[in-house]
Amino acid sequence: MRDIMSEKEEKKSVMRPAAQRRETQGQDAWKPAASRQHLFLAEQRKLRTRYVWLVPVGFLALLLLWTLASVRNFDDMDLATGYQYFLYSMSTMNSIFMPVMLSVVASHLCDMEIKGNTLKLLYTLERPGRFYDIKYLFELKYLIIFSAGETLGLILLGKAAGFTEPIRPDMFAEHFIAMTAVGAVILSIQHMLSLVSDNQILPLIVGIAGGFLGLFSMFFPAEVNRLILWGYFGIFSVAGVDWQRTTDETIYMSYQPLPAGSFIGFLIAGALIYLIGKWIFLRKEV
Amino acid sequence: MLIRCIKAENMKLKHSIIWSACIFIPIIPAVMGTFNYLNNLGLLTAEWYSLWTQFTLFYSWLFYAPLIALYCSYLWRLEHLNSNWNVLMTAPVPVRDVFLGKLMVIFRVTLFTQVWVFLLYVVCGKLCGLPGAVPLDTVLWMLRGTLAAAAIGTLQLLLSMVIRSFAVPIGIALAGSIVGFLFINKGWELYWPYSLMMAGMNSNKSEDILGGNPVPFLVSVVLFFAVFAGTAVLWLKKRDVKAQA
Repeated sequence: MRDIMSEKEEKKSVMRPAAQRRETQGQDAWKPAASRQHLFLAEQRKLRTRYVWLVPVGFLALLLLWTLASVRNFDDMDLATGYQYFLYSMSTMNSIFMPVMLSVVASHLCDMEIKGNTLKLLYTLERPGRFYDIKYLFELKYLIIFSAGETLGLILLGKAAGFTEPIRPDMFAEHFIAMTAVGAVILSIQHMLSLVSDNQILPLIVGIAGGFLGLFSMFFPAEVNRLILWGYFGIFSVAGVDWQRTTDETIYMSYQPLPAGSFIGFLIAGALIYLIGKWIFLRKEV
Repeated sequence: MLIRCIKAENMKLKHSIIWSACIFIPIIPAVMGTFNYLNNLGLLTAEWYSLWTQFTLFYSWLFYAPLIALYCSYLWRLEHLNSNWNVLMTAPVPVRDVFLGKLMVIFRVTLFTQVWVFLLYVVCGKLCGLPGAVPLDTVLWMLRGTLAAAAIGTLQLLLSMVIRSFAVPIGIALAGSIVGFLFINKGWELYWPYSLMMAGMNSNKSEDILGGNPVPFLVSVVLFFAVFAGTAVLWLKKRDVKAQA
């Protein structure tokens, strides 16, 4: 019975126009053998004993230690605006350290494929585009761990230091979203560079240069600052300093909610950057 | 033998992208430091010295060590790939010379970077209209910063040799630089290798951080160099290599 059915199907296929047959055959050839779940599992297994989590956790520990060191000299007035200071200074530090940290994470995950020359084998098992996406999601996981740990760490440090300022959950949530979003766009560039470059020196140069640009862009006029991707950690900071009123004795700070319009525009631009990166990667000859 | 090793390492760097990093990365603090200096002329009144702080503060604190780490990772990556470890260890040269050969090349690249930074400093100073010649102090500080690379370069070369990942030693260099600032704030700059560059280049003060006495600084550099180089050579002698199949 099964043989008769398959014969019928074969005949049907022969009767279809050649172009359509070729298309169907082409699709079948591209259909991945492994399911999405298996691909996730495979990626997970590659990371066993790699201890990649040590990179974001190590950086997080250092940044929180740094923040803790700055709290020691706080007086009553500083304690009343402590969380605003934390959010402002952490945005600044993120602009310096996050580009390098992300370049290290992306390079660490992608270099295993470059060094092992595994892309040829992987393309026989999964679609290149899907491989690109899943790899990126795994890198994103470390970014989210870092951002969430940073947000929670700041709240806990403030509690431990005895801040008298009430916690604004909405501002901390916005800080988390903004830092993760900017980090995700930078990560998409690092991800593409790490997968495209046979030598990891280029993505690392971009990471170090990005840290430099992010830091210095804060001293630039707003119009110039907006042109520098790495400067968006500062632009989307949810706390700011009023430099007109700030004196040597007192820093005047205030919350500044995330500008919705600019943020949505940034996300759209980020999605475009990701798609362009993916397009460049798909054109790579393996 | 050492000369031959240096020649071999130099050949590996021919037409390498490492030179682009040398040229490109110092341009960023140069352009931005100058821009920042021009925007704050009311506050930064010490002319050449103020420009020096703008040029070198973040460079020596956060980017000098990762840059050296980048050079070291690049040099060892060549050996980590394929079966090059086997070739390297069976070469008829002492392992000491293998390590020192790489170290000399790192010094050369670092020296080139530092000279380039200084050249940019002079050019930007003149473009800003600063009067007179460059202060001799800054030449000395640049030289001290280059010497500090002996300690950092040796440590990073050791790390890149032991850790097979290209990126992780660079992350360690950045983390070490962050901790370095805490050490320098406490006045313990001579006890942490990553603080030595900032102290040597005197990048956050107009007056000399070492108080005009460079001997403790030099002793610290030599000690760190000896410890890290000794550990690396011992490691090469005792440990079996892990070559890629």
